[in-house]
Amino acid sequence: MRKIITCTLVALIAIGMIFAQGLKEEKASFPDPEKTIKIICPQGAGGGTDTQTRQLAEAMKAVSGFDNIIVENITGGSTGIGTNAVIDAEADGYTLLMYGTYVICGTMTGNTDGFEKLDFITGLDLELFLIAVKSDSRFKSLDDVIKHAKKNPGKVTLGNAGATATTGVVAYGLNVALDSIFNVVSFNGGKELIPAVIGGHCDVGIFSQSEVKANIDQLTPIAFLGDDHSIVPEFSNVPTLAEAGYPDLKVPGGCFRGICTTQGTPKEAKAWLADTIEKAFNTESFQGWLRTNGLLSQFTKLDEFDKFNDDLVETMKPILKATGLAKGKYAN
Amino acid sequence: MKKIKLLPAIMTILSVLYLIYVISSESTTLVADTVGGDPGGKVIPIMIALFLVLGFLFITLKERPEESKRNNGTAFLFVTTLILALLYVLLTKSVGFIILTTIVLYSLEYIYTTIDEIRRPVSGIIGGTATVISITAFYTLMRLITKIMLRMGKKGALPAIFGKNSTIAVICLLYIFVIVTILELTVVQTLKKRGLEKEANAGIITFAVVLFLYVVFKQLFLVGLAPGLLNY
Amino acid sequence: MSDFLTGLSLVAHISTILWCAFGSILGIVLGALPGLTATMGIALVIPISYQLDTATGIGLLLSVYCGAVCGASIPAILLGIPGNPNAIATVDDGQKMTKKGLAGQALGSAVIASTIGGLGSEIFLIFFSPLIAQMTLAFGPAEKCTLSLVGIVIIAAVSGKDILKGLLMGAVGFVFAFLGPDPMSGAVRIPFAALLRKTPLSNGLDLTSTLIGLYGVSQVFSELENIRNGQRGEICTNIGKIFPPFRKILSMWKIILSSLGIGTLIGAIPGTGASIAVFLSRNAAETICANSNGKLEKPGTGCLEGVFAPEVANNACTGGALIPALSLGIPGDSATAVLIGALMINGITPGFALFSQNMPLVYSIFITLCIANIFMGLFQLAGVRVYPQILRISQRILMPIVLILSFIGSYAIAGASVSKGIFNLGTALFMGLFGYYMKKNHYPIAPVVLGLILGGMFEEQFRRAVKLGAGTLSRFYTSGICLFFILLAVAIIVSTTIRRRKEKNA
Repeated sequence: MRKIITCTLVALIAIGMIFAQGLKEEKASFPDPEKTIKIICPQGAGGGTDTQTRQLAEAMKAVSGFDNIIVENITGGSTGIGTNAVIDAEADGYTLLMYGTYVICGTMTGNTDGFEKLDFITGLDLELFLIAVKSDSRFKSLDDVIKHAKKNPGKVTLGNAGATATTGVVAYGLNVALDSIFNVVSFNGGKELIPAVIGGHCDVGIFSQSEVKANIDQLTPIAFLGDDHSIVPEFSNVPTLAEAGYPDLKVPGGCFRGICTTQGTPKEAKAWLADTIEKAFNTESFQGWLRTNGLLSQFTKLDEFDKFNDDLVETMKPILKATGLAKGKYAN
Repeated sequence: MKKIKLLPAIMTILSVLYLIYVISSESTTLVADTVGGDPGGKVIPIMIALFLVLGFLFITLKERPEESKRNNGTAFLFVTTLILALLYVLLTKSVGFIILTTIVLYSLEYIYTTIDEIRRPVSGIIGGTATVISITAFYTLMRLITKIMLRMGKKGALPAIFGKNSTIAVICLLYIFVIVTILELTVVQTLKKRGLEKEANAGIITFAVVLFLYVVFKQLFLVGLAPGLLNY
Repeated sequence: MSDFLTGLSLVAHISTILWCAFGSILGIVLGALPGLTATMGIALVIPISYQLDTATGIGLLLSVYCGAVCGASIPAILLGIPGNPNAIATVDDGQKMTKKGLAGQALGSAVIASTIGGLGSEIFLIFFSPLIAQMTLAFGPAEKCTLSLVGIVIIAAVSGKDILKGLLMGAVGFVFAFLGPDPMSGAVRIPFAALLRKTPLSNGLDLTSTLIGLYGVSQVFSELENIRNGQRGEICTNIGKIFPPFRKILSMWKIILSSLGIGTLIGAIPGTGASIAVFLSRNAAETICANSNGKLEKPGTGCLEGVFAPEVANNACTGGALIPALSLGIPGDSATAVLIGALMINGITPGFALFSQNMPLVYSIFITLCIANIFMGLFQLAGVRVYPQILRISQRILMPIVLILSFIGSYAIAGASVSKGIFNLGTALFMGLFGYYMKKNHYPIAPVVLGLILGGMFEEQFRRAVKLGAGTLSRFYTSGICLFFILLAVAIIVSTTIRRRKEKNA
């Protein structure tokens, strides 16, 4: 009996080793059907960034026929935790990051090595913001708000979705440019900012267009932060900063987004990803989604994107420095 | 000197340390937030730390320790469990889910079930090794089936539904069920007849649990379990 | 009416029923396994829902969501390990009932309570959605801050014999939350920052790992003594009756209504969560029982009342969370957040516009939610006779499996990041030991978990409220809701202290 067991075990080991050898030698081309591509969204589920990530994942599946693409929300540390998860991942192209202006903020505030330790795949689009008040607010225009705040400095509350979120940087940037007349209050994402403004707990808020659109009866936009008018029909009449009477206010108008991966990822994998994302980006469903939500296409690929990002970083540097958020070399 | 209770005393000391840490740490408030009066990131932690210090101090002074009894057998179990758990935490990344879970689970099962009898370490270790080897072998075979099916599904040799992860996960669950049943009826029964009941039970339970958890978490819910040594 | 019929025609397919059934089963499994969450389940089925008709897809998502909330009660009742924070308040009475040999009835009434909670909150959702949405708008930062204070005080009051120990454990949970980043500036606050600032610990202790550690891992250490002595505290071979007597349910109507109201409202307030609701409703049930002239048993003694109150409330939260989600486009919790994302992927922008423009779809959502709740009840009930079989397994064999399951659960919640997974394992083990020593010394552990959840919320909302009040506490004393909550917290502490004194002297 013991012999039988020993024989079975020996046989099993032998079979196992042969299989293992066979499996190791067979090098699959990217992507391996057994593996999963994970797109890390460093922001919470349900927000604009998350929705776009999921939209993109679905489009990628549709154009590539590769089904194992999942979105994972790793939040915290002002998007630093999610970014670090991608930086620390194996450089095999299976871990992607929904990159954005917020990662640049996270890098400069010292929460992550961010863009210094990432490989750039594709730049995607720009989401522009609206300044809005509740519908029955005493303020009717941006001019009203600013004039009132100048008379009573620190009394008007200006809400944003988080100190190091892009709307936060916009809010602080606005305040620095206007000699700190606002009381800038950071909320925990749009999900808390929207009810606070509608409920009258906070006077003015900075929102993405889709957030205002969903609550159009209760929120009134007073300024659009793009250079031109919004492409969303509902907001095409909202004045830009210049039209509202403040052509000299220079603040970042929106959140740029793109896809990055771990540094040192093989060229073949990056090329596959860039091509797939480009095809996904150009699908009718994704483009339609961009249009309804008022996002502007800014597609760039690989090296182009790297260069584009360098420019973006340069424009962000002085703003972060002025707000006092920057740490380390970005503070000097 | 009166005896004092250990736990509240330790908690008091820890609370004091936390209070000192909070007071001495740098301010975390933003320069840009000075307008409007942000109370800062220390106010609430200091209040809570003070409450903790006072509360635990009160309990330390008020309560007296009661006689505690603990037999040696429990202490042995406690230490063994703790060491195995610690090893699990420390080695997961390098050894990997399949092998490490097998070792830890088998050891615990074996040690817990043989508590009332004199252990035979040699047969226990042989049983453990056999379990690790057979799990590795059947795991490898399962992965091979998975890979072949995925490839064939992709090439169109099989209907597309077989190229889906969830279908394959279901097939893997069936595979585990069949293998476990066969092992239970053959190897386990034979071993039991030869008086190796505890080893056989620990082995088959470990076998079933490890592979089942692997399929449910990795193949069905796409959780990235650490591959470790079996990195194929 | 024609809108309703159009809505009905959107869902009246056999495929809707089948997908809802599939979703319910998946949800229950997810809820019952620690470390797998409703959020994960919804994310998992989004790709499937994308391929289905919109209404069917939403039905699938809702089924997973409801099932996961309900399924969490199974391990809470049988093993004393809540599948997720929603089931924490169920542990106490559920476990006591199991030990009395009433596991079947505990599980059965949990299912019935969940179904009542789910369907009841749907009635609120259908008829009072705009009203409740407006009510939640009154909850600004100051109100949320005081609400979390009430939450932690109640938890301290209902768990354990000594309210001071409960409050201290809550404070320990607060401290665990404060190790995370500054809620307003995001600056790192962890000790040994040079070493730890780039590790996942700088984000504070992981909630799910803490929960699993405190309940799962510590349970294994606690059971070692029983394993040694070979005694099984709970031998429950006879499952007994599953359905609680109908008359009993009727006699609890006050508890059901109060839990339903609390659950729906708390669920509807974004950023609060079911974990407050379950304890609030359990506390309310205690008051109701105390005034019932002995007709109802007191929660905490291992009775149906103590299982019903939290289980009605946590499923009422599902309907509640959908109120701001559908009427304002604001998620009430993280699962509804993914749900909103899924709706947007399906081409629907939730918000008030949905009600004015696409009423048939809204009706179809209501109908599928109803189907989801019924299926959730049916499928979980179908298994009620099977689940208690787990209690027949010897502790000696079961405990190692519980330990491994706890570890894999806390590892899985980290997702893609292996290093975070390792830190989560460490957190679970540390919390297991911490919980073991605390339980051994008669300190309650539920307040630690709730402290971790509410501590962050309390501090963050306090800071925000003061900032909105331009550096003063004006937002607190000018709000009626805040004053009410503060008085309530004080009243609970005083009354509990007096009651405990009396019990001691009696």
